[in-house]
Amino acid sequence: MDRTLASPTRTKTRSIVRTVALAAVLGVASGYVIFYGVFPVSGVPASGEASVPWMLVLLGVTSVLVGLATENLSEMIFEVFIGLLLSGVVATAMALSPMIVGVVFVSPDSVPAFLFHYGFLLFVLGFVVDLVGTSTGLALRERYFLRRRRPLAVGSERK
Amino acid sequence: MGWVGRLASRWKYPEQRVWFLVAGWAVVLAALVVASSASYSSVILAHTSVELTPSRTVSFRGTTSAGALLANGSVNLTVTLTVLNPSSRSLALSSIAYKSWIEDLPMETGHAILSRTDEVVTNETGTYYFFKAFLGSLDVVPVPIPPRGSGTVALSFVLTRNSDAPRFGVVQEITAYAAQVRGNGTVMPWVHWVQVAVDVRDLPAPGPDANPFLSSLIRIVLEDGPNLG
Repeated sequence: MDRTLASPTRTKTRSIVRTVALAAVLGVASGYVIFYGVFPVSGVPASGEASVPWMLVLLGVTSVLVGLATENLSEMIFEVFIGLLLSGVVATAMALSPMIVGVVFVSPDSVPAFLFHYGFLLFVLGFVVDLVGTSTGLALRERYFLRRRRPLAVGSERK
Repeated sequence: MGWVGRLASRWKYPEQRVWFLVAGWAVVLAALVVASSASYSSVILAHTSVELTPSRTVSFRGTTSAGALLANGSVNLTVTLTVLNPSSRSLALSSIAYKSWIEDLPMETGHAILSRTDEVVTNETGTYYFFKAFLGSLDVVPVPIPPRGSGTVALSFVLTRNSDAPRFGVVQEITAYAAQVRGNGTVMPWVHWVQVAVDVRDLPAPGPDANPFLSSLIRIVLEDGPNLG
């Protein structure tokens, strides 16, 4: 069916699903980065200290790709903020992952506070890179995808 | 049209191609998340599952027939430590701290001659005094403990007049008193405490500026026995 003929409800639902899906991708990337930054020795790749270039590449690539798949600015803003929340969820889930194999080693309540305490700068880094990266992706999308599809419309608007 | 065909038809549109890239990248991220979680879980599992099985033997050399320690005698503490590693991590036993106390009968009965500081233990059967005869800590040549395997280290410590005259003197007094009142100076009860540090060998060492909890993550500390003080 042509997208222009889709009902407003369906369009809205698609937009919400798309926003949540892309926010989840941002959340997974930022959550991994927070976990890796706090526990670099037991992460993959394991290192004595967290590699800032590695974290920036992961966050940058993710956010630009998400920006390229984002349709408009309001979706992008929602994605970044939902992604920020999801990053905390993902990092906490990773830190509590030993519970899957039945190992309860700390009080689960203390893990989010612990990660927030030691990973606060990583939360900020993730948020900023996500904001810049998705904006860049959205701009690239506008530049390369959308303009190609409506050259005549732009021309007729100018007349 | 099968799912391959449907995917191929979507590849024609640049906007759809981006979704392929996003999906592929999400798989990469998910793999990193799963691998990191698994690695972290295996370290935590090692922390909670590694077991220390110590055995100690105290022997006296150079005693009277009643077991009183002579001035040229010695007390030998042999500690055998076996660390069982049920985890998938490669470990290595790297350092040991130990303390051993002998029950101080002369202090308990008020017949002590030499001055010393004892640890006092009170339980339902009474009050007991313990004298710290052995203590120390040392780094050892790392003893490898393979995944799902075990590692054993045996150490021997000797107390003589030359090695530590004040402690030796007190132990000598205790054995002499025990020989006098119990008929055998070498039967006094001992209390042992041992702490071993086991390093996770297949993880990188944290950097110098790293948070202390990272050091404790790659170092498993195991204890056995009561630490009287």
